[in-house]
Amino acid sequence: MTIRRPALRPYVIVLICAPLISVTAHAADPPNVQVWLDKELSWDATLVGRTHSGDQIRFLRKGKEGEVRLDVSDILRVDYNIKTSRAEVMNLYLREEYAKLKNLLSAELAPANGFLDVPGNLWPLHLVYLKTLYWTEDFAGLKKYASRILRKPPTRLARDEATLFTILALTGQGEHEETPALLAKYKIRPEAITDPPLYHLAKARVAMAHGERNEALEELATIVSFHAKDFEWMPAALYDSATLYMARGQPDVAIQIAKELQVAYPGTTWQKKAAALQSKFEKEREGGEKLFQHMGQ
Amino acid sequence: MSRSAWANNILSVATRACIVAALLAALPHNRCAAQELTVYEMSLQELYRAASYGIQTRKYANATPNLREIIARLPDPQLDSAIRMLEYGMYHLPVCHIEMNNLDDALADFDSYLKRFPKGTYHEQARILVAEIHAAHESWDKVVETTQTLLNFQHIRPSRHVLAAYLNGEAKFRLEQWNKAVTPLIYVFERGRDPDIQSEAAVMATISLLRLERISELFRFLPLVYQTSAQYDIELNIALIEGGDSRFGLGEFEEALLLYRPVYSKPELLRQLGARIREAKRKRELLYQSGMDLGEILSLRRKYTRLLTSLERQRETAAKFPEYDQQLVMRLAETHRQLERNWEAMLQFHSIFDQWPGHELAEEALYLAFTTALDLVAEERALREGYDYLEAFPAGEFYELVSLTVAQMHLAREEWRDCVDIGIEALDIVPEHEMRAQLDFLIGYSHFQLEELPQALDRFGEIREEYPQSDVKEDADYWHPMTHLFLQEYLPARNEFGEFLDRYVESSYLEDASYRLGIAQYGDDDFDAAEKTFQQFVKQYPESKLLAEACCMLGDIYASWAKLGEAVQYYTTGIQKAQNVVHVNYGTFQTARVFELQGKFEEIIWLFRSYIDQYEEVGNVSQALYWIGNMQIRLGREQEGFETFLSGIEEYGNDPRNFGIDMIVRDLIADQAESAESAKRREFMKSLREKLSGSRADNKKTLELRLLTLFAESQRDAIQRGKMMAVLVKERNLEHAAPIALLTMGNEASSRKKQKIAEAAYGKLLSEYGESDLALEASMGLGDLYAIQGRGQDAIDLYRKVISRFPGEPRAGDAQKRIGDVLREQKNYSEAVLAYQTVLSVRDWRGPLWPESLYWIGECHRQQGQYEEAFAHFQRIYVLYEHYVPWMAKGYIASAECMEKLNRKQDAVRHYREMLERPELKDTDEVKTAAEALERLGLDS
Repeated sequence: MTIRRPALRPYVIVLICAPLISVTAHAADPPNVQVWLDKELSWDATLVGRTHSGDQIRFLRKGKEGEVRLDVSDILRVDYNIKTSRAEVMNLYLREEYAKLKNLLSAELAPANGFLDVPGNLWPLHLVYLKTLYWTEDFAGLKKYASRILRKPPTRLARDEATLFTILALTGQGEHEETPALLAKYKIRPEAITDPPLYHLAKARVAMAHGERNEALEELATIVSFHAKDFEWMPAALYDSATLYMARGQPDVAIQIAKELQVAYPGTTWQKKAAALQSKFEKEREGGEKLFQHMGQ
Repeated sequence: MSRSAWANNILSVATRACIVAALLAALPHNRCAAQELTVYEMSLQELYRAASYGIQTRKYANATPNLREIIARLPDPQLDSAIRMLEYGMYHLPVCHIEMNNLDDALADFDSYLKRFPKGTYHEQARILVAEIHAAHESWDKVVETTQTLLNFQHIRPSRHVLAAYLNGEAKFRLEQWNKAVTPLIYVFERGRDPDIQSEAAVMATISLLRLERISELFRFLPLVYQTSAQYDIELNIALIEGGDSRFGLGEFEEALLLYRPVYSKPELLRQLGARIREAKRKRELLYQSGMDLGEILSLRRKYTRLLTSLERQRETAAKFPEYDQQLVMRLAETHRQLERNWEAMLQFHSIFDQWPGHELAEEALYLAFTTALDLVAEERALREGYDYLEAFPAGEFYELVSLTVAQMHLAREEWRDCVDIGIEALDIVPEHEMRAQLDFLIGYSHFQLEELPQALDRFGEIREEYPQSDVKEDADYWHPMTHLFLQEYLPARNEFGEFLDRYVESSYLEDASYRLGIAQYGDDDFDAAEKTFQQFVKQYPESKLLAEACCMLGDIYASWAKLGEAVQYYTTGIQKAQNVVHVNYGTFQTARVFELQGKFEEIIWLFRSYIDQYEEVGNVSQALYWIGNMQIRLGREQEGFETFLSGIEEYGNDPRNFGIDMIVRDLIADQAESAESAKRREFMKSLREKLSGSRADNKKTLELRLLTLFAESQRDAIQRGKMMAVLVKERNLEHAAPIALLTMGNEASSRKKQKIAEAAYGKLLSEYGESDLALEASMGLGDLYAIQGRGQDAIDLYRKVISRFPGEPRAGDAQKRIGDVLREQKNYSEAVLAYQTVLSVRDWRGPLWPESLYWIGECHRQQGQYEEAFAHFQRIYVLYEHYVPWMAKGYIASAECMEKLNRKQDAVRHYREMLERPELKDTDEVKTAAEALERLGLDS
């Protein structure tokens, strides 16, 4: 005699299948990527996941049956369908609406989470995400995100830029011991990265952390002198150089730079930060003058 | 075309194109078939249709008669429809005139229209077109008047309001009414939809604010401008440069900086203009695919065409515009410099040279980079900039100044060789160097520091002779005798110091020169004069830093006169007035020597115990212990002495710079060589072995190597010694070895033919421990090594250094003799003879070196076949130096051999026999040679 198993009620089926549904794509799913095998050969596909060993990427080709598995080294690049326009991202970035931007980017980057080692069209968004973490001073998050990229960087550019952000995160957290070695590790060429000033700022931060004031000022001066129209790193460079000129015993110069920041970057965070810096420097200068007068007497 | 005229043009065309296009697009779209009737035969409706059709089909000449007829037939209409018809005619007639380029007619007809319909359906467009016509005529007052009227209307359509404001702002801008222009232009920038109009309004607004010097407002506005393509407008960029220049001229550098900074370089502007042109062309081409109404397409096409014309003109103008990039970077750099932001300034100055090395500003810029780096006190960077300049501009305006400054920097950094090199190179490149005397002085001073004293003397001498008016003449007058002093040419030194003191009574060198005069007199053996000079110095400069040295010199003089009490007194004063531990050391050790002469050994022990107490941290403790131990031994307390030595070695022996320990080791080695085998010696060796093990256990490498040296050298058994030496002579020991170990390693390695290790050991001793007393032996050892290796000149150079550094030492004579040996080996007999003769000319070197030198002079002659001369020198040896048996024996043999060569057989025999008869020579090897010679000559000895 066979015992008939009771039928599962529908909601139980849904519960059991839910995890599978979330990770498994079907041929019927709309393709979400364009896979380039060389410069001329590409096909639309749906990213399924990785093989158990993680060595291969699993795809479902549009209009084809069966799964395709490819080594990362076989793939030239994987381009994702980016829903957000560049203008939208830039708009939020320029308006310093970082929380919104972070959410937007997280959603946009989510499909690529398990495939950070695969070259593709998402690097500009990763870069904005890294910057957003940096400007919001989420150094722990920045370090973590950059280190995920550095585990198997998809390109040399990604490796170099993630390294520089790691340095910024470490110096931001006051963990600067390994930073000189990290900076030297890949022989990064500033002209080969997206934002050359990023390299100079990271180098300056390392020098600052190690008390090498002149070296730091030289790097910052490189940004101020040759990348003055850069709206991202230029104010950061000015801000740091103000603090260094102050430390060098040139309060007038430091205050003048703080004022410059307020005039040149109205309505930004820099304006507020520079105003606070100016007020701090003015107090310190006043204190120094009083001390000097006291000593003179 | 002037810049402003050019700007007028480009600012107006594109915009006007839009306006006209916009108005034409607004025309009615009713079409009517053309009739083959004259206007007089047509009804009003037919006239309207015909006019409308002409306008639609852009056959404006056909439309015009119809429009005129409509107006003529309706002189004073009453019905609304008739009035509308009249208005249509009166408005479109001037529009057609515009299209046919009859602007004056258009103006007159618009005037009629606006009088008849001041608030008519088309009055807004009409007024804008009137303003446009005035703008085309550059009648800017009328543009203002027309647009102002329009702007005063309350319910004007926003797009037209923007257009009117734009024209109004532009007109005021052209009339240079900057203040009035700003408001409408900023309004257009903020409210306008057309990016091209926005961009042009931004340019004019920025320029107006600049002219008004409303700087803070400008800086609020500029960031917005820089989000539009206006940032690439050449007129704007030029205005910013001019604004920056103006602020710079007024000393308002912060503002100048902010105005210079947004300016784009010319290549960048051209690149951007190129990109905009490509983009405009692309958009124009895509218009027909846009699905827009044909009228709109045509008006947009006209807009893009006008825009392209404008951009092409800009590009042309920008291309023709003189280069400003270098000047701009220069100005930025100067501004940064004025603001004391020297890092930025330096990098920018340098970048001009980097980017445009052939540009006329490159030289000045690089020079300024150099001077800015100097201001930054960034020496390494300044030197780099300086050398870049010197290399790039050998004929440059600032070459002399830069070369002198670079030489001065090297001097200040005590980089003597670099100072000499750059100085000499500069004088080679510019023989008529304006600052030649100063450079000569720097070169001379550096030579002096490098102990290249003859070269230093030449340089100072050149200044004294060639540049008597130079501001370094006084310096040269001081350093010239100083160099003589160091060359031990005491007579010219004392003469010149004397002259100096007579001539420069207010010189900053006066005090020094007074002291040096005493030294020169002392060196010249005129102790009386020296004593007077030093006594006078002590009185005249009681606070001098040289007082301690003068007192010590007086101590030396009184000691030499056996006035030991006075000597000790002055040494004591010297110690009290000491400026540094060197003075203390000198006074203390000289006092000890006087005490030694007086047999006051206990006092010496006390003296050095106090010295150690007081100067344990900085004093020469190891040397003091050396003295104490020696004195204890001389007082018969040998055990105590050895204990002092051994405990001193143990305590201070791990520091290679405790040179006194090396002296102790050296003395102990000598002592052990002389001591007989005894229980005491065994005890000593046992103690030594224990300390050696202890040092190994404590990983005190330097101490271990010192003890190993002592232990090895104290061995009686050659095999044992050899084994220990093999352990010592290892390359890995070089790092930690102290001078005594290095010297032993060098000597032992030399004898073992391990030349590499020998050279390294001597080299390390000389380079790192040159102040050690053992440096002399190392120099000799290395010189000998060079001689063996055939590096004659290196050997000679080293021997010469020994002579100049240790002139009073007997080893200096040895060095001089070895110079002769090297030259003789090189068969340079004449020079070799001179070298040997130098040995014979120095009284202090009298001793075995004299007969030896005589022998080698004779040998030089003999080698050249000059047997008579050779004989004369050989003979002098056994006539004058009977006490030097080995050389006497050699002299006899060589003399006799010369006689043989001269075929004076009898004389030769006489010499051999005479030699054999001298009892003091009977144990020498040469006796056998003489006996064999006699036998060879057929005679019996």
